[in-house]
Amino acid sequence: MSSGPAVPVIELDSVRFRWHPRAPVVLAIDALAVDPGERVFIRGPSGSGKTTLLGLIGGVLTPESGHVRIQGVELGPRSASARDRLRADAIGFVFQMFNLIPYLSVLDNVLLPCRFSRQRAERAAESGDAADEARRLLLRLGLGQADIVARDVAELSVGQQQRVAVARALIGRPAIVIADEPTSALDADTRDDFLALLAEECGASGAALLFVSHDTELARRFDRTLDMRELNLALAATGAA
Amino acid sequence: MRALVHLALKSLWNRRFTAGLALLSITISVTLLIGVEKVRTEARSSFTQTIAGTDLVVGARSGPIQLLLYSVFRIGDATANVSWGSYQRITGHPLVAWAIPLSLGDSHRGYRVVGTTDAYFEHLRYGGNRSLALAEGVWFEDLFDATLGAEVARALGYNLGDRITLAHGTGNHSFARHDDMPFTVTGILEPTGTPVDQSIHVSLEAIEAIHLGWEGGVPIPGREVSPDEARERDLTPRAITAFLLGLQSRAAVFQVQRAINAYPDEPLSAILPGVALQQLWNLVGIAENALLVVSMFVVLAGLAGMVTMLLASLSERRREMAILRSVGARPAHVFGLLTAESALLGITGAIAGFALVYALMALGAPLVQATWGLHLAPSAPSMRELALLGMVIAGATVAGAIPAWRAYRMSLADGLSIRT
Repeated sequence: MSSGPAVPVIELDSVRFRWHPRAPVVLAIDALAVDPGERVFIRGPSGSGKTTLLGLIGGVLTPESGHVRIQGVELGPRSASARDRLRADAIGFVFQMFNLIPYLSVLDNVLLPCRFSRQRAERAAESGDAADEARRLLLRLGLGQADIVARDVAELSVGQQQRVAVARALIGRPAIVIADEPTSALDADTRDDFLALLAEECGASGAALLFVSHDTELARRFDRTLDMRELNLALAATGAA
Repeated sequence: MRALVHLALKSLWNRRFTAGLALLSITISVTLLIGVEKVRTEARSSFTQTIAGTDLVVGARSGPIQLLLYSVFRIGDATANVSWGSYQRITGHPLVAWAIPLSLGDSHRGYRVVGTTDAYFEHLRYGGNRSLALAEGVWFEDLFDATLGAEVARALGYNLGDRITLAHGTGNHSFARHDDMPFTVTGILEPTGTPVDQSIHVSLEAIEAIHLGWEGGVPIPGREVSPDEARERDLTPRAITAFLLGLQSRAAVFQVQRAINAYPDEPLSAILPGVALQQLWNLVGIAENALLVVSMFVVLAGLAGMVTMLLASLSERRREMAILRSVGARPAHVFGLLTAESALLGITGAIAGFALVYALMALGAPLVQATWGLHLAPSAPSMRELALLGMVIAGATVAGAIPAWRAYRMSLADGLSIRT
């Protein structure tokens, strides 16, 4: 997709992580790089360290050794709040389910990242108003009904909620969208539609998509598939033992 | 910051039932706190304004509080009298502008009888600079006329023209009565919220007249005097209980006070009513401080209720915290969100409680005035009240740090992983 030697948006280099100094290493990744706009599928059953991996990329966990870089910026030496800011600027998240803040309207949920990241607020407002951008995204995600933006999130179906979450992840065009089992609560039909939409919209906004799931069936829509069991050397070691 | 307040508002609205209960407890506690403070200051000012415009209170030698109690508040009795001669000489002093003699010691159904002169009606001031006014009738003119305080007339149901008899002494059921010399009610005063309301005013000469033939303190058989006979006699008082002085110039107060205290013919005391009132209030003040402390504890209980509500909500809000973290909120934002929620509850509760106090005051003022003679004017909030409100809001914010800290720890530990 990308042309020329672009800086990877996500780069892990000899990363080792354990929860505390006497605990075993739970995550060991020698090399992982995701290019701008690339769509990567990470396959991993629960317990394979994917939550830890996402925590490291999100900057809420710090590795014991090794390097994590987001858009070329090394996370290690940065303060926790600088890492939080970097996450807010660079990454949109979509979780398994109940992604939305129950007491905010659909529109306010979508606009949430703009409240914590000035970069994303500015980019969302490039073509006018961030709220308009949110409506445009919702429209593209099939949530164009006039009344939906003002509705209580609890009134939406699970599928609709997940699409609102995608709009929130995409607003302000972050370089990375991380989706953690976003389809597990959806039935087969909506799952395929959702996936197509997610991939398409990430493409449209130029975001790299890191998709984590245990469901290999979904893998064919992606540029590349990685298996946690191969990626995480710690897992291979314990598996062997 | 604005984003956090916005979030906090929406979050509280989402939990409006429990948040409403927490808010209610804060509102009630603030109402109590400010209400106590209001009544306290109003009672104090009402109390210290019981007597105004009087420069000196003079009576037989005694402590200032005792003198003040029996002369102004009509509580207790004088130990000795002031001779009429001394009264005449002192009030003849060129620096004296006016004098109100007070002759106490008789009563009517538990209400004190005050023998005095027209100067009482003319010069007595209360509540800043308000003078007495008549609701009905006139100030006593004849020897057997009586002018009633508002409360006496109201409680005993007296009207103009009613006849009353006085009792010797101040007990409610005195056996020694002045039945032979009834008085006619000729005037009823407007309420003042001072002991004047509980007094029956007659002339000095009347006090003298009803005690004719009572030289030993009890009526001497065979020496009873009829009202008509009394009118023929010399009714110049021999002694009075106390008197109030107004001076030509306030600057002369200490000079005149010294002169009276050093009066050679009789041991007298002259006191500054303002100073004595302050001393008296300081005695009463212990109770009012206790009341304030109690209401502060009620505020603490209200805040504790709010903290409980916020803490209880935390476990179900872990997911919300993780979502906020994922969209870029720092743990400090999570801390700020919870603190903002408690601060908002504190601010709303403080304002609502304050408004409730004013509403209650507006509604209850006539009743309070009628029942306790306490004048509750809806005055502008005092600095003290604003300071108390500030303390409540600050207290709510600080108390909010407890759930905020827990949420902060939780969001650090949970990171982006969603737990329920």
